[in-house]
Amino acid sequence: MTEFLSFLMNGVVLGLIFAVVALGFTLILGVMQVINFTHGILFALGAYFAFSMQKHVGFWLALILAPLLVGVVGWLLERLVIHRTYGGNPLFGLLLTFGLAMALEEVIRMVWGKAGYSVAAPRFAAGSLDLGFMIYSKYRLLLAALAILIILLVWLFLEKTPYGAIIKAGASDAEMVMALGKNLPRMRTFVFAIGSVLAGVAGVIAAPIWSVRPTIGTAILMPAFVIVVLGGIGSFWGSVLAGLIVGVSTSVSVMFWAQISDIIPYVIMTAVLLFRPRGLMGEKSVLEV
Amino acid sequence: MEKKGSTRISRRTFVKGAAAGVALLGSGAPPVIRRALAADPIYIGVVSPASGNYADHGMMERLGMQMAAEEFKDKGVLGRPVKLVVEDDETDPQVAARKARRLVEVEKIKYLIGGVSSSVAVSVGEVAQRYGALYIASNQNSDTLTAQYARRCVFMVPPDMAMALRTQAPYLLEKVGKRWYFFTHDYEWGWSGTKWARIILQKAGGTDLGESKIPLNTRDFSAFLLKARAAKPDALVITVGGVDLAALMEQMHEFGTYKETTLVMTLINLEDLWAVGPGKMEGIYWMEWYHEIEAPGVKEFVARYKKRWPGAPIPVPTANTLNGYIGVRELLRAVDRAGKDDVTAVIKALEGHTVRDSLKHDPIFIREWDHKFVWASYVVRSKKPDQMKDRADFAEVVRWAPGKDTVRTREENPVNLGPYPGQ
Amino acid sequence: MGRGNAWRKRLANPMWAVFLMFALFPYIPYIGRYISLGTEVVIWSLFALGFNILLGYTGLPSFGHGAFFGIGAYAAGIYFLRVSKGLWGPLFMSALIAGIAAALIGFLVAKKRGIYFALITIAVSQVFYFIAFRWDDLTGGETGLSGIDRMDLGIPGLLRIDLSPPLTYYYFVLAIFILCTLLIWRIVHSPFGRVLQAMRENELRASYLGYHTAAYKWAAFVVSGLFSGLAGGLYTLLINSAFAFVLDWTQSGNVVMMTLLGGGTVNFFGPVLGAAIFIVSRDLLSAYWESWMLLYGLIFVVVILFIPSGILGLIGGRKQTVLR
Repeated sequence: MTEFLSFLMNGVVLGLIFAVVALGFTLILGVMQVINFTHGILFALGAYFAFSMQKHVGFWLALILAPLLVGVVGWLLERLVIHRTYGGNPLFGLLLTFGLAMALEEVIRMVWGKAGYSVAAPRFAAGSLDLGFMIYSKYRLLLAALAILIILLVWLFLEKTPYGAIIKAGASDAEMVMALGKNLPRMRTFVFAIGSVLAGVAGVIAAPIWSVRPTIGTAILMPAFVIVVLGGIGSFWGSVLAGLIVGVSTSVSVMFWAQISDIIPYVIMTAVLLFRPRGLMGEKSVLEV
Repeated sequence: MEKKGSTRISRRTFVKGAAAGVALLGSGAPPVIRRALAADPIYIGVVSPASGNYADHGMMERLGMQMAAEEFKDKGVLGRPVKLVVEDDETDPQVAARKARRLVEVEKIKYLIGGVSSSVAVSVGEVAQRYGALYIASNQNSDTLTAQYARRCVFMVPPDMAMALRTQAPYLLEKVGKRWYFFTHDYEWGWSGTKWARIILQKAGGTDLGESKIPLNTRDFSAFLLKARAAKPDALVITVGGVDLAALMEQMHEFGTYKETTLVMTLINLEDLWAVGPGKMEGIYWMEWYHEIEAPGVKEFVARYKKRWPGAPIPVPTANTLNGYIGVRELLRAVDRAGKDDVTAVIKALEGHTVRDSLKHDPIFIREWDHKFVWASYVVRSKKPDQMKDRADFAEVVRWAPGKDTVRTREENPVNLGPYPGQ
Repeated sequence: MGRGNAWRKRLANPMWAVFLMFALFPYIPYIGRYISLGTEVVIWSLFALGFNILLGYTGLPSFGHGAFFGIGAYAAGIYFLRVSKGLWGPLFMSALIAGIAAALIGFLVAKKRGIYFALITIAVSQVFYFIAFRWDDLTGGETGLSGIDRMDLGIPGLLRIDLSPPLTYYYFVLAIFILCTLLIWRIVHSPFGRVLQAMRENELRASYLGYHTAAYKWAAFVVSGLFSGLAGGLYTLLINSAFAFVLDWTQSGNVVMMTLLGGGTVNFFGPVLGAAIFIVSRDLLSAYWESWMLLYGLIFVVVILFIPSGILGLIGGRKQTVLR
């Protein structure tokens, strides 16, 4: 039982990280209709920035600064190149970011080297904690709390602020937003930056348990794809739910049949697609036409 | 070490330091020009990871290879200069095969060396066999390269997992206890580590407390660690490699696993320890070689390495360096013994040969029927950070066993290498 | 008169120039000496042509096509090692199994289009990557399959050609490539192909005209999968092995890029040109610069931003019609 609980807990923690990554991904996909392959690199950059900063500014400040810096990178990418693909064939945005991701991964290698680094958890969260029914890593509990906090902040932002309303409108009807006299290009850049920040922050908090290396970006990308398809494109709670499903199913299946653990999410996704072609919580959206 | 990588990003790296006269040319240079440079050099194609998960291991082996090549810079081999042509295998068997094919098909290179991951070694071996080239697998530890993948044109330098466990397990039974739990990287190399350990444990009447199969690319080990802890083993016997190992070590530290049980690594490389840093990993490891052993020539070799590579990322040679060095040196000596630049003749010169200056406690015997280099390996115990005299001084050697006592016999591993190339 | 014109038209087809160029490749000085690279170009050309049935002619942006190439590669290897050592058996199986996989995945994606189609094809194709990596008993897992020989080509008692030398295998692959190219040409210029193109232009209108568009898309997906699988089988025989890395999603990206780079969206032979440039330049770049991936990635960016209709689109000066 304890064993099952710990697998479950790990799954939840993993799922929460996935959810944060997937939220940024689906936001960009929903508003700009770009499958953003650089999302994984932005995640990796978050981890690397934090790794370089933590020595100087400590955990908390790095947690704020590194994602912001990633946001700036995202903002630059969007302004310089990615915005040119909007409204074109979806393959353009996809291939453009595919190439960018390749190039940026190489840049990471050039700057930080080919080998990986381990990132220490902050001292106050090192070691494990006896919860009574099980012993669990302190840092993972902190990580879960941070991830939940971030998810709630994003939700509050989308639901309770006028900007959020515009973003949601932009996701379903870009022309209407234009007609309302809103500055659509600026909004898109902003959304891209927000999505980047989310990828970055996920990278920062995941770094101590995964350690950083140039390939972590590509490693996180595929789960994000699956989650977005599973949860339904553009659906906030769909992404959170799907993130948890992917995290928990991956983790718990390790207990029973480790070999298939990374296939499980795809199997679930395929099964869901058969019965709900738009994913768990997806609605008919502009993307389909 | 059997290693895997999921990397796709790639490049070819040219080992720097051609100053010593061993000019390293990329295969991009037209052979016409190259052949005209000197009296027909002997080329050795190096297929070794410069990117991917084993880039650091690959770099260390290439440093050793170059040291060996430089030993022949004055006298040459058969009166001809020696040149290494370095290709990056990207830790990807498909890329490795393509690069190897290019070396033998286009550059007409007859000798190949390298390979940190077993899948790369298998794929390069396949190419070598088909084109009638000679391949020396310098750094993969899987049993299979001298079993089902054994080929006439392939030699294997490092000790394999059978030798690892037959060296290490008796020590564990004696000093640690007989209740073991296993972490198995869920693929061929991992299975072989646990398999050999179990055979020995069973013979000794120990208790097998179970096994956690760890999928490749696992980043989160906490559930496994908790499961292992619940079993309360004397020894946690770990056969996990590469990137995953670094994460595992980090998390064992995080969970304080080493306080309750002895951590045992069935294979570890100094590169891995170096990446994780001192104090993170306490336990008993099996290592192919350690730069502090007191075997003839080791001190000089370490000194030479330090002098030759003052800026090297790891200040001492590792087992990968040694294997790269021995591989190139013995290949060139064999060419010399053969008296001609001919693959079959060189294979015959290697088969059954004994190497005295092995830099280990016993000489190397190159077995003619499975092409394995038979030589010693070592059991070491980790040092605490305050016991370390420098940052590379991770361990002290507690036991070694000669290769001939641990290697599989012909009855255990009946292989048939097939005909010599061109026959 | 009409008949003579038709023949002239046929002979003027750039197809013959392409075939001739490939036929002469081994005799081109300098690059011709690397025959296996040429074989790789031909194989990827076939893959890209098969893929382009979907992208260029049906307008479906599949981003998981590497799966069919990979499935074909493994099908050939597994059939050779476990069932029967032959030449045609493995190749037949590679097309067949990939076709079956495409038929199954086709059900999931046939009603999708645009970005959703791309996203789902990426995600679904990953399943096969993991299967190849994990199912050790069947696929050899991480180590892959090796020892897959090229058996002699021959008619018993009459003719026997040893395919193990790179040169004979090159011409064998080229012969298959030519047959497949003619076949694909026929397909895309048949009434079926015209429906595909009509759907590309306006799916709604095609469905109003009474075409069951989902069925057509499904069929296009399967046909495309068959050719991709065959290319994978030929690749397995080229490298005498099969590795899980062929199923990596970057392979899917590469084939899309080849197709676009050459101009597959405006010209039947775009994918061939793209494959040739892509593979040869990768070989050269990686030989000269260790950080070649940086340049490579940037080439993607430049192509997409400045010549989205590909090289043939640029040279032809034609406005691209396929991708909007």
